[in-house]
Amino acid sequence: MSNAIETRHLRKLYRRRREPDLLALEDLDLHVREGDIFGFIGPNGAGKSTTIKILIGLVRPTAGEALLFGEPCGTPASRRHLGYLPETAVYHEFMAVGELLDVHARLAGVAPAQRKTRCQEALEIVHLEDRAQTLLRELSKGMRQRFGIAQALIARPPLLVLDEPTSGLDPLAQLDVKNIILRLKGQGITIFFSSHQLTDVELICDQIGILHRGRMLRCGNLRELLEDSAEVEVRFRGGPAQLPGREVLEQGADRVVRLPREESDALVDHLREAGAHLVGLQVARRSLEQAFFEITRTSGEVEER
Amino acid sequence: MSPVLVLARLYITESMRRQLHLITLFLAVLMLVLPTLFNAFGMTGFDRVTKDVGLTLLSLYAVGMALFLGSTALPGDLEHRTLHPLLARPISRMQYLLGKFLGYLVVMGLSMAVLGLALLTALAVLGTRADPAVLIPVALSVLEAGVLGAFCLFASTFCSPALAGVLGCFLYIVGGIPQTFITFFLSSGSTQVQGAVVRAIRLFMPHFDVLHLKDPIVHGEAVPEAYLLAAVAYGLVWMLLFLLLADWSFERRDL
Repeated sequence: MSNAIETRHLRKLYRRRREPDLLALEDLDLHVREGDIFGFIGPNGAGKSTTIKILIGLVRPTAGEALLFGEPCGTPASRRHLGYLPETAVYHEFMAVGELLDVHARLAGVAPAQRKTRCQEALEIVHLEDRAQTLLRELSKGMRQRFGIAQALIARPPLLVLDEPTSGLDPLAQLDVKNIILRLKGQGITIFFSSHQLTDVELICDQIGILHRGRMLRCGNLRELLEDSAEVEVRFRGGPAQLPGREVLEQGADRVVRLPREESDALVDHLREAGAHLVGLQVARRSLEQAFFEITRTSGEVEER
Repeated sequence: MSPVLVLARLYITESMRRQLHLITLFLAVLMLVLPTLFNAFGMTGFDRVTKDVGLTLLSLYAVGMALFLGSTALPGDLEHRTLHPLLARPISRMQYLLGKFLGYLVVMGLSMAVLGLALLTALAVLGTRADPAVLIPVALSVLEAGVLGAFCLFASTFCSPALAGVLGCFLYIVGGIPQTFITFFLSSGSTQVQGAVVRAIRLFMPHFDVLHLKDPIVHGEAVPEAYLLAAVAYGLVWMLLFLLLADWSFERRDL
């Protein structure tokens, strides 16, 4: 399967006059396969939006290269393949929904004969078909976000780039957007999106990249990210009810202890000597949220050292 | 329809619906037409005064709108981030700028046409024979607004809208000083260094006085056709130059 997005050694340094220069991205290698949903997560200022802007061509990289379906980013040719939803979606507020969608269809090069159908189709996907005549300034935030997705879809692009699509939306609107993304996934569209909603990312994405201070800390599928835990879970029966320096959890007949991997051998030996019966030993399952905090915290500590 | 035309249409539609432009146009028309009421006092030669004042008003309107619209068009889109989804389309930044500029020119052209008609109407009410020559300075005001707007657009690619407006104002004032003034200054006791500075400054800015034909028209003097063509070509070259500079600067900017 070929890559929809590929970046090699991408670097972005923002030169600033009154403050020190800001290194937004450093040596970013990214490979997003066609048909995947790629979730791009990281704290504020991690470089997510900069990466997206480089992919769109709004920002020029300082070094390295970025390709969309093999075309260098920033060229009109590369933008033929993508639909883009900006982070803070603001549109021409004096235009009607259908009118502005038509403008986007024309700019995207949709053939005149297909324009009306495409506009209708895009509005149906986001459930705004009855709002074609409404002015954009009269839409709610959630509706505007859905319009944003409609304009991104107008040319039926094989790649959608969504910058925090659920940001600032109420739970119902978030659910709407999430369902739309899941439906688009079913149509085989590659989706690259940044988000702070880690539970959504966990549910939707095939691949996840964790970005922190401009560097990609981890990238892989959910299982790889969650299994790559520094802790293991030891489950046993009988034996000591308490262990020095460890919290022992009672789960039915079992007792469970979590501890760093490198200490598990010693604990198992100790439990056997104490007459415990070992029931299981497994990598501790974490949520994406836990993994995210752990990975970014560890990275921060390493950098501070 | 090419992307440039689509974007121009978007600019025109937005501009009309925002109504700010329509309100200023309405006020300008009012100011043009009001003098006809004063003719009730029977002032001799009032038609010439109306022509003079009217054309001056038109020129000021064109310059004011050029400074305002030219310096705010791009920063407005940047500030409201309306340009991000547009630039994510398969269009170049040059096409975006050209679309915006073409829309601006059409809006200015239409506004000046309305004002020109209002002036002709005012003159007709005063009993003056409709003289189409009055429209020559009107058309040249559009061209002047084009040059100034293109400069402000260029300036707004690298500085704030306020500064772009101030720079545009400076360009208009210095570029509008008549050549006779400059010649007089250079020949009347200016040092060599002063002369060189003035010549250098004048060399790198458009001479708006070339486009100022109000006085000869008001006084009924004929303007040679060759001069008119040369003046239009001169304005168009400067406009193009500023647009190229705007594109050069905008292409390098992170958005």
